[in-house]
Amino acid sequence: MNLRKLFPTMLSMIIAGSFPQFAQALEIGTDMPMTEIEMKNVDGNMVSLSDVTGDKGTLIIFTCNHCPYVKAWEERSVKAGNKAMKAGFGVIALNSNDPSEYKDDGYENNQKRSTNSGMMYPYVVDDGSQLAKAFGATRTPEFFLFNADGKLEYHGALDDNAQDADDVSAHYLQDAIDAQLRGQTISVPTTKSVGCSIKFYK
Amino acid sequence: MRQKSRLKALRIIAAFAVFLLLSQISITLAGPDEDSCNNAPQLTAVSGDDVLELIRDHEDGPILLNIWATWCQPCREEMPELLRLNEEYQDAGLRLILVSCDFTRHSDKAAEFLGSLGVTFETYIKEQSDNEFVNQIDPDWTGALPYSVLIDTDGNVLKTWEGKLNFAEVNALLRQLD
Repeated sequence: MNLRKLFPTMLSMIIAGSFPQFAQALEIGTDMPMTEIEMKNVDGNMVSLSDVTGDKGTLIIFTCNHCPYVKAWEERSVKAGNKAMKAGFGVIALNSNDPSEYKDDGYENNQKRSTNSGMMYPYVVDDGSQLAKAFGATRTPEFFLFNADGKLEYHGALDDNAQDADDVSAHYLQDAIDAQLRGQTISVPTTKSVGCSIKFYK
Repeated sequence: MRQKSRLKALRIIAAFAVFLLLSQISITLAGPDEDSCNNAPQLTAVSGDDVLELIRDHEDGPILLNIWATWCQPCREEMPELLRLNEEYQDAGLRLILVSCDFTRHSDKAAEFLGSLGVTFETYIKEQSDNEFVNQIDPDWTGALPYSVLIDTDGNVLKTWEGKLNFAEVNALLRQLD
């Protein structure tokens, strides 16, 4: 196929099917995977996804310590996580990066970041990037919201403006949480943002 | 006493003159203001659709699209090699399209980084919501950086890379096009 002749056909239409190299993210409606894998929390205890599941659902945040894009969203992200907890969701943040790639992503820095940012929820080491691989997570930050039955309801970004909290026009995650609490269908179940690629353990 | 004071004053003047002379020498050795000659042209703001149009408009050779950011370490690491490739395949008509995903308020930082690597050609910066930009470029791209696409002269997508480029692979593909 010819990209120029097909313009403005999207690049993906040419790529689709030809180069299935990207990790396949969980599809909406899929069951939460790897719920029994125990991961080391910042308090030293081992925690699994099934340990944190909430009555209203579960929010899983793939994040890390070094990424400036994560830092740009940090305050909003922690606020959203804490708010979701208060609303009855289980919340957990995972660092899936190999710390040998980035020293900032070592366990001690998880502890510092959890304290400094005011996370009320567990922040665990995804050793071997097992969960990131199972979820098809590729970047940080990346959010997965499951309902009370453990089915994926929303996957994607926190909102539509990492650069400036005052200029956010779409609160993707909060809208998804609100819709889920009201028992409504989530109007935008998947979104994307650029972000730091997860440094998978080799 | 008065003579001693005069001598002291002369010594201070002489020391100041030597200082001025040495400063001038060091400025000459360092060359002109480095910042002023290392800055690449200001980045042009684009949407995903604008990028696709740039691709369509280049008909004289292959295209290597690279989407990067100054805050992305792998992006910074691979940039010198990308620029070397660009030089090597200039005669084959290769166009390297660099699109930064830095915040637009950090455009100068991106220009400074590119300038430090000797970039003088026009490059671009995303000015659109991430969701729209990523989906316009390629719905199969998850948004992780860096992201690169190699397109041949006829507009066929030869390969995409999410994460660092495999330069051996790029070289092999470009050589086939020669």
